[in-house]
Amino acid sequence: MDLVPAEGENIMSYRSYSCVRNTFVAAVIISQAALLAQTAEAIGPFSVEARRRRARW
Amino acid sequence: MRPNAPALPNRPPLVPGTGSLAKGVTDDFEDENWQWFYNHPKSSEEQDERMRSPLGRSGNRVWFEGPKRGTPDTVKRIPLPAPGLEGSEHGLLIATLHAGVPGYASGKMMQDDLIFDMKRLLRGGMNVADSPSVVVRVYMPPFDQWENRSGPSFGFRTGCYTHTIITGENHPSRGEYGLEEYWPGMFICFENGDEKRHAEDGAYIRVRSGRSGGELMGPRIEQLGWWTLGIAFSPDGVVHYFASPGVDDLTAEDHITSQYPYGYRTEIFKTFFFNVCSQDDGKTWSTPWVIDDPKVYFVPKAKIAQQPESSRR
Repeated sequence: MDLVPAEGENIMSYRSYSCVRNTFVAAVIISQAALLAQTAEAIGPFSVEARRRRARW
Repeated sequence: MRPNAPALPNRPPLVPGTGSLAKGVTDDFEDENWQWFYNHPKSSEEQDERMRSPLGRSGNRVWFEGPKRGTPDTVKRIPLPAPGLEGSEHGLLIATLHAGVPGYASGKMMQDDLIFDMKRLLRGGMNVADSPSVVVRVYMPPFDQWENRSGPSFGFRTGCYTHTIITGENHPSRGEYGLEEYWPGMFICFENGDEKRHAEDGAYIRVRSGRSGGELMGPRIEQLGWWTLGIAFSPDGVVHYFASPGVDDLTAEDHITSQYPYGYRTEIFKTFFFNVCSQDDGKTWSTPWVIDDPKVYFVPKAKIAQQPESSRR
């Protein structure tokens, strides 16, 4: 069966697109998580006690 | 039903056909070897909880029989009944006689289903974040060929998912929070002129559904022949219903309504399918419906592969 649409139409594989999209979303999540970990290291441990101290400030 | 949708946003509707055509998620019915394997007896899970495997399916594996209600009794590639889309010569005839439980004429309105296998073609459904939509051409025959019964005759519907309390009657997780499946769409309904309540034969489109689950009256079918029907899903979870006489591409002017069906904010567009209904009396055929060139579209985000500046360190 010929599933190729008429010439001139804007055609794209949704499977390839969603694969790229999901990879991109995963990459963003991983990079944000890494960034968060770095920030946490710089600030110090987020213990309950530390949060209470911060709240008192 | 546990609504999870906010108030309808005040945005222009998403027109079906917007964006890129999803490659391979279509069927033009032009292949002369196109075949339907009925695999009778048909399923009737909805009526008697019996799914009779193997299900009917097309030779190209693009379509399969609905396990809930069974295959239409006629699924056949035919020459178009009237000139349609440019370059198209064939379409698919779907009609049914014994729409209910095999071997038993109920005398009640029953329906059969022809389902597009988007799950196989895409390994799953489409996220509404990609603004997916589906467009199909449907041939409305002259009224003297319609089944002489007032009520729904044909359905163009979609399978959707959202996260809410599951309501499916036989669902193992009924009553729990999870993935709820539902089927928004459009029905073509006949008004039988032989009945006192209707002055003459007529037809109209009914939309399933509004926010409360009630059906909405759509436009009247003033002109028979080819129509273009379309359903679109915008990233805010709204379902947009469109219809227009002829085979031209849909435009904003063809908008019927935009809804959160059942109060649900749609997350996944799983697939689309067609219903054909009959009075299931064992002797009266349904209206013969012809469909052509169903196509699926989506709106790719242009800069998807580019990481945003703010997250680069």
